[in-house]
Amino acid sequence: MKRTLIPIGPYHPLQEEAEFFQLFVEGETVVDMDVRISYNHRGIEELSSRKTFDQVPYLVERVCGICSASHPIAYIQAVEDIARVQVPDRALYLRTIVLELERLHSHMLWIGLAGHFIGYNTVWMWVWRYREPVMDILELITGSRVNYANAKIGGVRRDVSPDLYPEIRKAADAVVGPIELVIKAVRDDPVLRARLKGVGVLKKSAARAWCVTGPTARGSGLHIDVRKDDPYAAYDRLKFDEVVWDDGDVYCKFMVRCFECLEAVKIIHQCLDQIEPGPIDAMVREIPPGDGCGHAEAPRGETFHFVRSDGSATPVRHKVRAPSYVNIPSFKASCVGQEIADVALILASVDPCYSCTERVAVAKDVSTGKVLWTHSDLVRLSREKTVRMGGK
Amino acid sequence: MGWKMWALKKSVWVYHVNVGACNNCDIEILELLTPRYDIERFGMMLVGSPRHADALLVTGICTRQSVRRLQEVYLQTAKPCVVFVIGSCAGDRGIFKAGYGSPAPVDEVIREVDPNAIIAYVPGCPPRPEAMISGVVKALAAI
Amino acid sequence: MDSILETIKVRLASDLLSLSVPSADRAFARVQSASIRRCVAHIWNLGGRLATMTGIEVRDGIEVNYHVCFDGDTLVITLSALAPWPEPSLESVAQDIPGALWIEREIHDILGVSFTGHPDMRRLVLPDDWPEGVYPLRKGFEA
Repeated sequence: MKRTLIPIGPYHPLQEEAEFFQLFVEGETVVDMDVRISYNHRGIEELSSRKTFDQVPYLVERVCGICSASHPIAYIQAVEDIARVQVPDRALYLRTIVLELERLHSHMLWIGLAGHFIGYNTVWMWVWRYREPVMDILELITGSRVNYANAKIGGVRRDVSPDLYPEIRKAADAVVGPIELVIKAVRDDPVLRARLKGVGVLKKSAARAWCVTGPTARGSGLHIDVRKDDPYAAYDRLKFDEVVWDDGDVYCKFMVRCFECLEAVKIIHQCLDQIEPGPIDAMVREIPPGDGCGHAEAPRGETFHFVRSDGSATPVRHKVRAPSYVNIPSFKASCVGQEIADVALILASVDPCYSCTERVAVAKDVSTGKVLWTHSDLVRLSREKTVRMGGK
Repeated sequence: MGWKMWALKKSVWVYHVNVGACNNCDIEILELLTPRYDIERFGMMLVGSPRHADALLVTGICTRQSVRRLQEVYLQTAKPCVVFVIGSCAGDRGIFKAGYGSPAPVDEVIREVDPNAIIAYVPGCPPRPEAMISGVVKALAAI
Repeated sequence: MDSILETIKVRLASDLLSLSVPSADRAFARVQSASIRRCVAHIWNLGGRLATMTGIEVRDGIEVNYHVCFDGDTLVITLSALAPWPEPSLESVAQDIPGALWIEREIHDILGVSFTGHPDMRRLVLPDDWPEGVYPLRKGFEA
């Protein structure tokens, strides 16, 4: 059968990179794929070695706008690992609250966009509407909707007034109803089930081989959750479940994210129950020479930071590994053998930090160079498949 | 070009180009479509192709790899068009200014192919959705 | 965690140059450059997950650190091997672990370490028009 090349991209923002996918298809089936990144290479690691230790958190929270709490936390933990800092308890709880609120807003963002891809724009609009209270409370706590600048080496920058606790509880509780609604919808709606179940399976062995993390790994039955494995912030004092589903398809990844939202609400309540007044900053004066590793569970998976210090004011080397960096290559395992109509959804299923809806995508016939499809056509194909299934 | 400008200001269709942003500006742009901000009530709409667009929303520092692509997208856009430079990165590369990642700010890249381009700036990291709406309204009043 | 470290000490035995354990959940090991692939494979088979790799320019060459996390245990172990001047090169671990395919390409791009046995050494993170032989993360690089 004739093999056709379908390029998707390049304007598809990832953490540091937008990327360019090339799908090789035979008929409707994907037989191979290739990814080219670099469109978003900003040279953060090089820049980081020219900033002081205290300036770097502002830089790394701009690695990815949606993980803008997790990246600074991972970096700060790496530095605290070098300096052996004992962070005050109150600061640890405040960090945890912001991290979990971030998880709520990020997962809801993903659920909305997943709905958009399979042609349920109602889901998108509703979920994003219910996400707004979370954004508002983040703004109340940190001063910005998305760039928090909240954590610093040795603690946090701003305290939270106890007057705000009921507001935080209210905002967290407000998402429970909508999330349960989405869970029921996905579980009971035959069309949604059909579009998600058995699609884009990433087997457990493949997930391990590609070193994937986060909901992508937990949806494939791997027990990887930094919050449990190497507890940081206040996670060792909190009771929550690690959500693991075994089948590895888009349905499992969807469910993992939905249930993690519910866990996040539980965690926020526990933090507010346990938090006590006290100092919020350990007042770190200098960073000794040494190597430090820090990792944190961002909404998309483990973000890993490595810092080397020589005792001066700037890091010698700072390595950033964002979760999508390991999750995206696994497309090679999950897309091959699937229909083109499902690809948009599978690419979305690892949540590669996207605003996919507006990326440029053009499909060309390899032999003639004629333009066949645009990205919106891919989304249209995906939606038509939903309609076909609804008609059955 | 009088009637074309008149038509341009009626219902602006926008195309979003990310040339090396961290996603913050991008999610805030998507936020504009959702119920709280709902820009479609002003007749604005995000479209999937630059050829359908009256305005470009550019976010990010314009990385080396994106320079040619951004110019290409600009050339494909129906003229007259307005370029909205969203966020500090796109405006003057913000925190990434000293890095090797970007050769020039977005406005210089666009002026290289069209010296008379209409460019409007919405600063902020990221600008709030309200700020973006206000920026668009002010820019349309000015042209 | 102690048992994992003990096993690693026994398995790596002659290849291990030094081992430091600054805290209960972090370990840093220096190994012979020639046997890096075997060492990483040993740790991988013990259940470690290769989180990422870091290249750092040092006096004698490029030091490559392999960060391995043990899930279900708090341990993060960093293996480091030196790729000496003038032509820094190491054996590729991506032959055993597909998860290392991208990061080896990245280190090749930004620091110029060649990984022998890597199936696909094309450019990954740097732009298409980036000059050959210029490595942005090496010392002396000017933006």
